[in-house]
Parts: sequence; structure tokens; C-alpha cells
Amino acid sequence: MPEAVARRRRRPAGRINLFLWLGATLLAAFAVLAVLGERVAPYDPTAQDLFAMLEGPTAAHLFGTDNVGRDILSRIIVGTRFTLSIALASMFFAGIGGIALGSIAGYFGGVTDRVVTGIIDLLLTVPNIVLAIAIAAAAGSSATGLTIAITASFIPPLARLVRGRVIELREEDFIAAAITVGMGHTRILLRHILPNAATVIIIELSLNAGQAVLIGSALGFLGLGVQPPAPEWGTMLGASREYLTVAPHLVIAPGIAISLLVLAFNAFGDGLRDVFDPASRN
Amino acid sequence: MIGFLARRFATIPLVVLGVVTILFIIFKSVPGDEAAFVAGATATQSEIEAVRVQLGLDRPLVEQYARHVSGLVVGDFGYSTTFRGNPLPHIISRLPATLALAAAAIGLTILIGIPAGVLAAAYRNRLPDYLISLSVVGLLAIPNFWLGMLLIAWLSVDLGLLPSFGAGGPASLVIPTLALAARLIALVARMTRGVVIEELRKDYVRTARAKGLSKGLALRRHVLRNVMIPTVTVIGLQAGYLLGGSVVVERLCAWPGIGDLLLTAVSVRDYTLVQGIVMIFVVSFLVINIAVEVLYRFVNPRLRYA
Amino acid sequence: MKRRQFLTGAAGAALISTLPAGAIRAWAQSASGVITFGQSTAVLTLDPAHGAFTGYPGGYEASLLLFDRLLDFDADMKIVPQLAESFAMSEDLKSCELKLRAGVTFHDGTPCDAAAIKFNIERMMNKDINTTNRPLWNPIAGADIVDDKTLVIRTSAPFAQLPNTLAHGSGAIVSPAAIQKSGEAGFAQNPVGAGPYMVEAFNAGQELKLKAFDGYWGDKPGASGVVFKFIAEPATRINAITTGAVDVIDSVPVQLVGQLGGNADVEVVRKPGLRPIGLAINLTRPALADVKVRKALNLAVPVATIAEKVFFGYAKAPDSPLAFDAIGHKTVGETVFDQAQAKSLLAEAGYKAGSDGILEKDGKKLTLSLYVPEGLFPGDVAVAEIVAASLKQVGVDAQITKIEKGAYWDHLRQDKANLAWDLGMFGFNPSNASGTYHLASLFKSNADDNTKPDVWNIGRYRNAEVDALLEKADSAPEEAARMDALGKAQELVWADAPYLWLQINENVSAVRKPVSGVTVMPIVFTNLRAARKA
Repeated sequence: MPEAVARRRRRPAGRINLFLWLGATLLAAFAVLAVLGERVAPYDPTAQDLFAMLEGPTAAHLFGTDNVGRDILSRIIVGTRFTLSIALASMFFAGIGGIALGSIAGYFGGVTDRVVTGIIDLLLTVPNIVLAIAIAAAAGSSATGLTIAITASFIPPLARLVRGRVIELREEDFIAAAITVGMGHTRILLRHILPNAATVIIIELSLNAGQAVLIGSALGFLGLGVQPPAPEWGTMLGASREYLTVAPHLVIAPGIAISLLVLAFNAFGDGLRDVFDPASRN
Repeated sequence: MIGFLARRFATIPLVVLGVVTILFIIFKSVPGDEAAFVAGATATQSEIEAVRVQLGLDRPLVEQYARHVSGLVVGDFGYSTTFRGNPLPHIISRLPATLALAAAAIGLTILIGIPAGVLAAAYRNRLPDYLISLSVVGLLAIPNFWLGMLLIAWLSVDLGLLPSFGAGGPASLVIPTLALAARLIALVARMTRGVVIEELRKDYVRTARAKGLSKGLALRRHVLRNVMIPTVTVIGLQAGYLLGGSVVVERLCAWPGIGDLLLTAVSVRDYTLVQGIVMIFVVSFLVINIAVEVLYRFVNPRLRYA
Repeated sequence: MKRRQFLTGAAGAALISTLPAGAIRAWAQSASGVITFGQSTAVLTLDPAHGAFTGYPGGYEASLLLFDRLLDFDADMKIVPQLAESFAMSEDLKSCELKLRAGVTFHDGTPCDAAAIKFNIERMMNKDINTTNRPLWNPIAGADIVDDKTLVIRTSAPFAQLPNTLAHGSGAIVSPAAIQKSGEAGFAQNPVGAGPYMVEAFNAGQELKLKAFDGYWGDKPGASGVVFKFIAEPATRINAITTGAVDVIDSVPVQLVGQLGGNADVEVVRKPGLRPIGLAINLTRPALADVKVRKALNLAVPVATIAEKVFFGYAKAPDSPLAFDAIGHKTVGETVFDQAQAKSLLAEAGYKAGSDGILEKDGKKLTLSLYVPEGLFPGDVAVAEIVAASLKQVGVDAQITKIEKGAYWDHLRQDKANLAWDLGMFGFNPSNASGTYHLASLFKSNADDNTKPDVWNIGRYRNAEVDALLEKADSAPEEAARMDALGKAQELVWADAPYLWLQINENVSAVRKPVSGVTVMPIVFTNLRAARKA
């Protein structure tokens, strides 16, 4: 409800487009970096130089070098791939999982609903990141494990949202008509309900993508991320922590990268929401 | 009220049981010999088998589950390899540190977030509003562990004003609280701004202003009362973030709470300890939610007799 | 009158002579301050039978002050008397005669006599009570009291390292009366020993307060008390010693030593350690069974540069499978960095570079799985990354798998069929300082290579000559013969290259004025036993 209150203020049309375009542009830029990676990086991200360790920013190394002499800028560029793909993959799978669970619970109601909602509510009592940590610890340190962990922590809130929307739609006349006509449940779900829920789902996913990046990089920071020497931003921040007092420059670049990507997703999601669904937010 | 509270508190054990069950399933499906972990690296096969019997790991899963749950009810959380015994007393002894951090974060959020939101609304579409809204956007994008590191690098290493790590007196609380509260402050500020703008538009306020009431007084007398509702809601919604965020912030700042302990437990595969801490998190989450609902009823008179 | 004065005088003299020598010395010195020690590991238990694996070395450092042992290590890891005035190993190395010191009491006032010592030996022999450090205690068969001052300890087989066991941390002598009082379970939190300090308060895992024991037989304690505080975070420890919140810290991360250098009140104390770090090579893999390949792996990595750069000079490249200060160490080789030679050795072994630069032979790529723990060994992940990059330069593809420390040992010590690693980072610290113990633990052939290794021969090394030499190093009657055999064994092992030898780190601690007398032992312990605070 409060979100709806905040959103009801009218924005001049120019503002909406600003967020959407800003977000979209930034995301596109990151996507390009993710794809091109090594080709635009000035150095090989794994090339070490033990005689140039922990150097601050210079003309040769715009963001300096890390604790084994690798160029930080190159690592940031190549690292885009990890963060972006993990975030997108998590959102994709969380979307599928959330839609499946939410529609089943919302559409069929009754016992099914209670059981599924019960499990979802249970999982919602565990803080996002704690659930992700527990699963990452069990699934192991890898991009796959990370994706599983983040996906799992986003399915419950998504399922809840989908369930709510499906329940709303279920009451609509055209659904009653479809049932009378004898249309199968699966068809009703797929052809009538889900397309109408799509907007809400896509907006929610975009808004959550930023959160996924934050949680993913937090896990990397804690050492639960991908294997070395992969240049994942969160892991780079984690590794820089013990050098905080002697080489603080290590901290700057990965943090800026993460913040910009989250900003991009947030702006994009906000913009989408303003365009499609300004008044409602569960 | 008593009935309401009783009902809500009664659901806690059920929820905890559910979470325990899920965790049990997750941890039992992890590959690896649990007895070998506990016995240690240099244990011989016979020593590992001894441990297996001692911990009851050779019994069927259902029996293990039953023993586990019945132990939990009396406060026996199992055998933690870190503490060589029941971890519950150790978890409880570290809990106040985490609660202190969370409380400080909530306090700071109310102290900074609400005034910021009010300011932004009062000077809507002018410079203060732009600055505050920009800060909100920024704070929502910045990872809290990065913010913490920057604060440490600047306030502690560069300026020497605050201690970098650990818990030693009120000064050491500053950086972790700032890092944790940043996101909350942004959300509350944004929320408050919206609510205040909305209220200022309402008829009763316009009437009062038409009659000559100054904006400031209008704000104070009418609007602020309604601000508490959404603020409390936001904090309630973000309880999960508060508890979860403490894990990362505690590790970063070496703050000796249960979040930091959770990470230690994970790194040494002490599943008993992990589970114990997750349970405490769940209970805390539920208690915060109940507290939020209670506050809600106080703040929103319309609900009081619901 | 004269008689009375004489009697008074005599009585007075008699009185004074019954006081322990330590108390007399105590009158001469004024009460001194309390030393605070910020430790990197927590003291979880103070029972020598609970050698806490997770709490190493915190507990041992505390027990150095709390307990006395029969024998002790000096700064150069030589074995010297402590509770025993002298010791003599028999010719057949199956028994040791110890002459005990008289007039020693425990903190609770009970006497530390031959009976008490016998109790201790038997307690540590007991597998149910003492579950750790078994290789040090298993050979011991019993202890016999000859008379008040003489004890003979027997072993079931020739065991040259018996004195090392008695000097080891687990050889701490506890008060039998205290065990009676607190029970086996309670003793760990309420320990009573015969050392220069006794327990004042113990909050396991957080803080241990010791106070000076006035009844100590030896040099009076240099401080009125010692407080052990657990400070996990290195930066916090550095902060604490810089501000004076603590007087001593251990485990100073090498990249932060520079920070302490500028501080006039703080002195850095360093000692080369006893734990050589290396990558154990899985010798059951066909590719790695070829000694040329193993030698090439060693030549490809710039170990000396790593020691110099990554560890800021607080590490050295090895010249033997043993650490420099291990008892019996002999220089048997040299760490060489020569990638050209590495490449030619690999070519000799039949490898040719494929299209992607990775070497192949018979259609199989030379891809190695490198297991590294996080936070278990100094600079572990960084060194692993450097090794992987170096190996890549000679055409070997090393894939790093980082394992969290809790699960790491389990991965290393597996059945042969379940060995998932080709290279596994490992470092062994012989806590009794014995080179024979170290070499045997890592390189003595396993009874059965298919099951879990006996001790730490995780790579399944097998060399009958080395086994014979190790046997001799343990059981030959003369020390010279034992050391000679050990030296030859080191030569053979070095030549076989069953490890990718990496650096030997120094143990770095820091001490703040006015505390003095703190030493760092090669076995990682920061020793405050002789510390004084003005």
C-alpha cells in the first residue's frame, strides 16, 4: 500500500523516459562489455606481474594493479560477464519457478494453495542472504552454485506476487466464461491468465535484478562465489579487504562497477513500472 | 491485544519447525561424511565410526529427525564442532551484539530518514528535493559492504577518527550502523517524501492552509502523525534485510554478532551451528514482524479495534 | 640469653630455609604489570588431552604458561630439562630414565611428584581420554616409579622421539587432584598445572586471565598476570597493539608489517617456521607418475620471487623437504626457477603443445586440478593463482578449486578412488620439531594405498629405500647414525619431487614496550613464558 501511495504522484512524461532510457543504455553498455570482454580489455585479466603488485592508479593501469600484479580495469571489464549472467540467469529461473508455484497455488486454491503458500511463507522468514548462504554452502563454490542460491532466495517473493495476481484474475468474467465453455485448466492458465500477469512479473523481475546483483556480489565478497582466478566483482572486493590499510585503491573499481549495474537495473525497473503499472504494487 | 499476541506467538514454534525441517533436508543431502567432518582430519576409521554412533548418525533418517527436534525443544541444538557441544549458549551470548546493531540501524533510520523525506517533500522539485532524491537512488544501488569499506578507508584509516574493526565502545558502532542503515534510510526517506506530499495535497490540510496555517505548522500538526504508519511498514518489510545485512556488515567490520558466527560456521561446515543461527534469525524475524504489527495498531487508530 | 638468641636465630634460619626459593626472590622484586596478548586463535580448552585442532595454536600458547612439562624446547628447538632435571634414553631406545625435580607443587598446593607424573603419562596413553596427537603417545607402554625422584618410561618399540613427545604441548603435567575434583570433563575449563602462571578466570573462546603463581619452583614470573584475548581480525590486532590496548600480538599479516615498522614502541619478532608449504602431487595419476613432469612443475614456478614479493621477504624458498629449523634438517637441494628447462623436461617426457598452447600426449591434455583451501595457509589463494599462471606459461593447464577450510582435510585425505585433486596445497607443522616425525608423516609408505593414508602421505608416495632410512632414523642407537639416515632420506625425497615445493613462511609477532622477553618459536607458538613487564 505505501508504495502505491508514493507512486500515485504524477510525474511529467519526460521523467519516466529518463529512467527507462538511462537504465536501458547502461544495461546495454554492460551487455556489450560482457560479450566483448577480453577483446576490449587493455590487458589479459589473468596476466600476473609480481614486480608490479598493489600499485595505485597510473597511466598504464587506470585502476591500478591487485595483489598479484593483475590490471584491475581489465578484470572489471571481463568480470562483467559473471555478474551479469548470474543475475540474469537467476532472474530467469526464479521467474519460471515463481510463476509455476504462484499460478498453481493461486489458480487451484484449496489445499494445494495452503501447502504451497505455507512453504513459501516458511522460506520468507529466512532473510534472503542467509538462505542464499546456506544453499551456496551446500551447492558449492561455482557460478552454478551461486545461481542456484540466488534463484532459490527469489522464488518465494515472486511466487507470492504471482499468486496474488492469479487470484485477482481468476475472478474475472472471461475466466468464468472459459471454464463454462470447457477449456482445460492448463490452457486457461497459459493463454489467459499468465499473459495478463506478465506485466507485473516482468516489472518485479527487473526490480529484483538489482537485488540479485547485490546478493550475488555479497556472496562473492564472503568467498562463496566463483573459483579463482575468475574476476568476479564481489570476490575482488572480498580479496581487497585485507589490503584495505595498505592499498585502498583496490576497493574503488569493483564497487563502482557493482553500483552502476544495480543502478541500471533499478532505473530500468522503475521506468518500466512507471510506464506500465503506475498505480498498483502489491 | 492479548489474544492477538498469544495467537501470533503461538505460530512461531510451528514456523521454526518448518524451517528446521527444510534445513534438515538440505544438510542431509549435501555430499560428504558428516561423522568424518566432526571427527576431524586425523581421525582413523574406527574413531570416525565411534563419532558416528555417538552422534546417532547411524540411525535411520526419520529417527535422527525425531531426536533432533525433541532436542531442540529442550534447548539442545546438537553437537557443534566449533564449540564442542551445544552451541545455544554461545549463540545467545553473541546475540546482543547483532540486536544492538539492528536497533542502532533502526534508530538512525528514523533519525535521518524521516526528516530527509519531509525536507524533500517540503521543498518539492527544488534543490533539496533533487539532492535528497539523488542520494536515495545512489544509496539503493551501493552494496552495503562496499559502503562499509569506503567508510573504514576514509573515517578510520585516513582520518583516524573511528576504530576500523571489532566491538569496543560506542565509537566502533558507528561504521557498521551506517553501512547497514544506508539502504533503510533511503527507503524510508523515499516513502516519507511520498506520504508527506500526498498528505499536503489533502483537503483538510488545504483548508487549514487557506485559513492561514503556515506550512511548517501544517506539517507538524497533521502530517507527521500519518508518516509513522508507512515508516513502520517499511521497517517491517525490511526486517529480513536488517537481519541478513548484518551478516555481511558484521563480517566486514569484525562485529562479534551471530551474523559473523554464521559465516564462520559455514566455512568450517559446522551445520549444527549454521542451523542454530538460522533458527535464531527466523525467530527474530517473526518477533520483529509481530512488534511491527503491534506498533501498527498503536499508530493507526483505525486498526486498533480490528 | 645467648642460648635463647641462638635458638631464635636457628629457628629463624630454619624457618627461612623451608620457604620456597622462589618466594625469597619474590621479595627482591616489586610486583610487575599485567601483559595482554591479542591472539589470532581462540583458547577453547586447556586440557592437554584435547589438542584442539580448530583452536591451534592458541591453546598451546596458554598452556606454555600454565603447565610445566617433563622436558622443554629451547629457542633453537633443542630439548632441555624442565620438571625433569635430567633424562637418559636407554641404548635400545625402548625406555627413558628421568630424574625428577624436588619440591615442585601444583597451583592447588598438591605435590608434583613421581606418582603425579605417572598419573599423567598413563592418562595421555589412554585412548579414550587423549584422542589427539596419537602418533606421539601410541608407542608409550607405561611409566614405572623407581623411587621418589626417578621415573622410567617404557615404549613398546624403539622410539627415539620419546623426549620430543615429553617436550610437546600435550606432555603438559596436570594435577591429579584437580582431575579428581573437576572430573575429566570439567578439567578443561578449570585447569591446574605446575607452571609459572595459574588461572584466574576463563571465558572459553574469548578471554583467559592468568595470574602469577608464587609457588613456582623456577624463575619468578616476569609479570603479575597475563591476559589472553581472542582478536580474530588481523587489522584489529594491529590497531590494538598500536594503541596499547594489548602488549603482544601474533600472526601479523606480512603486508601489514610495514605499518608497525614506523612505530617506535612496537618491536616485530620473527622466526622461520617449521611448516614448509607445498602442493602435494597425486602420484596415482599416470601423467604425474613421471619424475620428469614433477621436476618440470617445480622448475616452472618462481618460488623465490613469491617468497620475496608476495610475503614481503617474510618467507624463504626451501632447500630440503624439511624446514630449516627442524631437528635433523640438511640442505639437500636448491629451488630453481627455469621455465626453459621445465619445457624441455616436459618435451622429453613426450609432451607436445596443442593448438591452444596446452601440452598433450597421446591425445590427452595436461590438465591438472589444483585444490587450495581458503584461509588455512598463508596467502593460499594468491599463491595458487600464481602457480596456475606460471604452469600455464609452460603449457600445463591448472584449474583451481577453492575449498572452504572446514571441508578441506576431508578432500585431501581420501581413499585412492575418491582423490579428486592432482595438486593439493598442504603444509605440515611437526609440533614436536622432529624432522623424522615430519618426513615419516608425509613420505613413509602407507600400509594400503587404496584406503585413507596412515598419516599424511596423501600423494601415495612409495620408496622402500626411504622407508628403511626412516626406520633407521627412528631406532638407531646413536644420534649421529639417526641424523645421517634422516639426511639421506631428505636427499632421496627431494630428488623424487613428490611435491611442488613452495615457500617456508616466517612466524611474525609483535611486542610493545615495556614488555620484553617474548620469543617466537618455529612451531608457530608465541612464547610469553619468559616475558617481563616492568
